[in-house]
Amino acid sequence: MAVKVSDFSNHYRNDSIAFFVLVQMLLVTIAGAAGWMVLYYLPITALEGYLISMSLLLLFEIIAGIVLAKRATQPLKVLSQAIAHVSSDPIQTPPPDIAPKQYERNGLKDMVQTVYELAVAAGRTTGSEIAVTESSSVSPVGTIFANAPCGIVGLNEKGEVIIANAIAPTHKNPNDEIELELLFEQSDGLEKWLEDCRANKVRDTKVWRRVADSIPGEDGRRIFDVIGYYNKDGEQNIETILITVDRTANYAPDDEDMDFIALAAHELRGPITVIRGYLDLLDEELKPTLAADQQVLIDRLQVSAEQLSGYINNILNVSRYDRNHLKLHLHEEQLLAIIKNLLPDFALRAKTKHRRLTFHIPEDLPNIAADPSSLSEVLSNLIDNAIKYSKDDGEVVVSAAVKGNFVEITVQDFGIGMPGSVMGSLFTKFYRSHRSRQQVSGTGLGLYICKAIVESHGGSIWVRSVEGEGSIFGFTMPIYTTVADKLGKDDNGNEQIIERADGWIKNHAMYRR
Amino acid sequence: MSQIKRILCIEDDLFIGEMYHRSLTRAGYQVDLISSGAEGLKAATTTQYDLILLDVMLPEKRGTEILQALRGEGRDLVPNSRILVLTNFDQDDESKMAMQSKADGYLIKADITPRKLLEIIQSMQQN
Repeated sequence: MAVKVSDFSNHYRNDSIAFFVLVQMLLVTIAGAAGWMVLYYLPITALEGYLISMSLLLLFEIIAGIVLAKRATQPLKVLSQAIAHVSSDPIQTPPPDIAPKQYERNGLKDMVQTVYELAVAAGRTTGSEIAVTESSSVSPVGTIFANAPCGIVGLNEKGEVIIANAIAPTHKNPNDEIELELLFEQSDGLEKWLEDCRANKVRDTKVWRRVADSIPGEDGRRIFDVIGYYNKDGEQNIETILITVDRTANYAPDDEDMDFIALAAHELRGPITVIRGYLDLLDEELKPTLAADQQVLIDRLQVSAEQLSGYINNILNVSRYDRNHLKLHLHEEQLLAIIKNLLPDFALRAKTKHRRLTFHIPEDLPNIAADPSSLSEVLSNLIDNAIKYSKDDGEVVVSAAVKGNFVEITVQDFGIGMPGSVMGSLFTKFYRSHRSRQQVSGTGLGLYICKAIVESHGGSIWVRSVEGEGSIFGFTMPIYTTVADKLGKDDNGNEQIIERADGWIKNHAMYRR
Repeated sequence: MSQIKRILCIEDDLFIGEMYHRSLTRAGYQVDLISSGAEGLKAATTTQYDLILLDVMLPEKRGTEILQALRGEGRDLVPNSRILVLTNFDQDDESKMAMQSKADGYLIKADITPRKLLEIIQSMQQN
């Protein structure tokens, strides 16, 4: 039975002492016997016999000393080999030889095994089997390639995979060629980047986030961050290197949250559709019979239901924006047409809150590049805020003017205004000033999403305010002709589709100019 | 494309279905309201409608499946109908793209009132 690791030291010391005593006794006996025999057979004096005997003993002791020291330090050698093996390059450093049977008996093998187990626990090696594995011919670079915690893929100048490690999202097609398993977005994918690099660049680096290897709902779907490095003169036919980092654990919960928010929004929108719709029916059917004060009740209900619908859109947009899912489809749009479409709703909101809403939009404004539904939300949020923070019978003025390559739209109120101290944080998420929390209801998402939408258009948003006098919010939208060449044509022939604040209609005449 | 007279409304929410039915009927359209996806698809292929209002989250057959059955893989079983998808479910971009190739419109129900829907239908006829 093998000796326990904890007893190894004592056991080995006793074993060595016993061995040492035995060897000494044997040597003294041999030396004594040799001295006696020399004295007996050869004509020499006792002193000479003693000297010969002592010389022999000295010789034996030297030999025995070497053997004993080697034997006594053998465990130290094996253990230090094991430690060197796990603490440095395991390929270059040979593992200790723990094959001899006595190592198993005296517990040394267990000692070595313990060193490997500790190393594995500390993450230094891939497994205790290294102790008995023959060193392979793989280079350190090869070891890094095979064991790196991220995927590494090399592509040639045709974009074909020529090398990939096991962890990279790749598979072999029926022709035994390795193919990448990454679903890039068409508009901002690997191929498009490579095309651009080959045409215009010698070296380039690009990062993609949230690239999945399969469509949603598939088992084992992984989501990666991908780093691309392009080098036109790459050695060994490798033009592009892709590093893929598996971020499924970080991104998947976000997607579940997104699903939850989308589902919750769907559930909330059902009753809101009914409330808004039936109010609309009642408004239309009862209009001739309603007294003026009753009509006010219906109007207020309609405005409130509409606000609810706006809040849900804000929440959905914030959730999309925070997860990089907010996508804008910029089209050539006429600001006036978009505002005209929203006018009845805005007018009703102003009327029910006793505000005077006026628009100063020049007829000859150049067309802008905008996503109409998102732009409608920005306008809606800013006008709502202006109405909220105005005084009774106060005026809200919406104006527009050309400013450089942009059209600047401003929404001005003459209400309570804000101190300078709050304006810096005004566009951050969930920010609500101390005063506004006390006086006016709101979610603190409106201005945050406005900023996100405006900046995604390439514009900017600002505010000026004087406490007690009112505020003016302004934002810019790019003039279409200044960005038209960057936008290009839609791949889906979408120029016939008219996007509305609430969806899209093909070949629709409503907003035709 | 012909004038819109006959409308099929495939909508499983009774309140919403009846809301569109009432509003469209009052405006002079002939409206059939069907609450199941499977029956809706059957009606769309057996009767000639000028306009199909299609919900997405439907029992038995989802609106996207109906769209695929009617206008998938290059076929068009309803060449004389317009299809307007009405949903409260925010589709991801891929599904929206898929719908764009098959449907004639896509609207969020919570964002439009029956009167707005009427306006949209009337303006669709002008094209």
